[in-house]
Amino acid sequence: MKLSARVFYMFRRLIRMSRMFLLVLGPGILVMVADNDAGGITTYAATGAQYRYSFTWILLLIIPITYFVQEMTMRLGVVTKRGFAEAIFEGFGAGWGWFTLVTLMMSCWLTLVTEFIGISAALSIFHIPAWASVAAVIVIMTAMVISGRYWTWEKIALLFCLLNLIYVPAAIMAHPSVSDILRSGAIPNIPGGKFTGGVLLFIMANIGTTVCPWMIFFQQSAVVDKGILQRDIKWSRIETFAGAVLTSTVAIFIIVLTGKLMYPHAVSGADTAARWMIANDNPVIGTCLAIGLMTAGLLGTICISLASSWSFGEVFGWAHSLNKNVREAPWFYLVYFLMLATAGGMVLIAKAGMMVIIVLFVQVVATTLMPVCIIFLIYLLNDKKTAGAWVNRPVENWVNGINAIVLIGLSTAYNFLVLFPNIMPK
Amino acid sequence: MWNDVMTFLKLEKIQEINARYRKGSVELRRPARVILFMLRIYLVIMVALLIIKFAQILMGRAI
Repeated sequence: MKLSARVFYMFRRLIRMSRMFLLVLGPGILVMVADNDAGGITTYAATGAQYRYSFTWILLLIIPITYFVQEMTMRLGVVTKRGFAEAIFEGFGAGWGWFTLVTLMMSCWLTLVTEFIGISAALSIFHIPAWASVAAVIVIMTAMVISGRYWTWEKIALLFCLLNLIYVPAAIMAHPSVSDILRSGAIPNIPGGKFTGGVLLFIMANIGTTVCPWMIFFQQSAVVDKGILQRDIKWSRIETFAGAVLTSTVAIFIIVLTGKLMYPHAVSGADTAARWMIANDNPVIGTCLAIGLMTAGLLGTICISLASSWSFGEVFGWAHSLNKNVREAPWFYLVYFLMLATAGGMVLIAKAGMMVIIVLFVQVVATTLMPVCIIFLIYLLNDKKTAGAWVNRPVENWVNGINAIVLIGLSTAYNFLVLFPNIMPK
Repeated sequence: MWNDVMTFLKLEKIQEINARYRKGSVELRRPARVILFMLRIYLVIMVALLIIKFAQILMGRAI
């Protein structure tokens, strides 16, 4: 075959592959980028400010950990055409089903409150009052779903994902030394050479909270709503992996940004970091950090509120699709709106003490539900009646089993340390 | 929708769901049952810790 013909066929094949990838693009990227929500951004900003680039290697571990869990949930959704909440009811009975549904709703609502806190804090940098931020978020979120088309909603959400990449130019503008990053962050190391309580807490906060229960519920329901077919699974796997790489990359750039500009400062939140940068001759980078925090909060809000209304609809048998309008699926949109309105209202009316309790409990409730979700996910994907030809292969069970043990161990330890910080070794 | 609200309030829907999903369809072998039992213990411990912490916060002190 002539060279020109070979190049033409290769080009055509590439175009066809890109089209297939773009068709399935959505749930995997969305869930992974939304994992870098307001809480996540705060954790990464604090890690960089306190330990510079030392923990960059940890963020590379996020890629396989999140990929393996989310790949399983995608596969289960595509094969069963059911969301995760319904799959648990069906597979393990009403007892476990109610437990996961109630805990998921609690976890989602508490996380939504923290997303609203993050958005309000970010917008307060631009002198926008909290009530206006909350109202704007509720209006934007309602407008996004009101079209009655999954496609429209997904494309708007993907645009927010693009905004999340703002940390990349922001970090480049800080002129970090690449050799410094590689030397101190690419090879696994512990800052100071010993495991102190603070080091342990940062490792657990970065890895133990990598996968949240709402991510499993969200991606499974999203692939069902999008109508991904079994023949698309390989493309969805690539998409999920791309999402995992993207989320880790964004996290690394946040660490590099605060590591370069703020080390060795301790920061309590990403908004504090943004204010610090604006006040210390870096107004553009500080503004980028604030915009990134706002976008992260918005993405988290989009995915978390939908995860809860999808799950509720699946179990109660109500219409639950973004392809249906408000008249066709009133309960679906009511749950969605109520979650948003009550969480946003909470930020406005609650006193500071209540907020401290919410922020304290949000991760604990989420990581308590985590083992249940991962163990059920593995069981469901080992059940031939449920997963058919797509059951886990032995090697997948080993990888996912080890992954589950690491995640459950670190998230449980993180729970103990958050609840009772004084038991932590000095 | 109003009928749905009444059904929901009378807990009929919840009873219907309980009846529909009375027994799980996944067949669990002995090791799987042991893991689920351990999971129950884990959850009881975590919920107990959460209650203890919440009580401590309400009483205005922490460990």
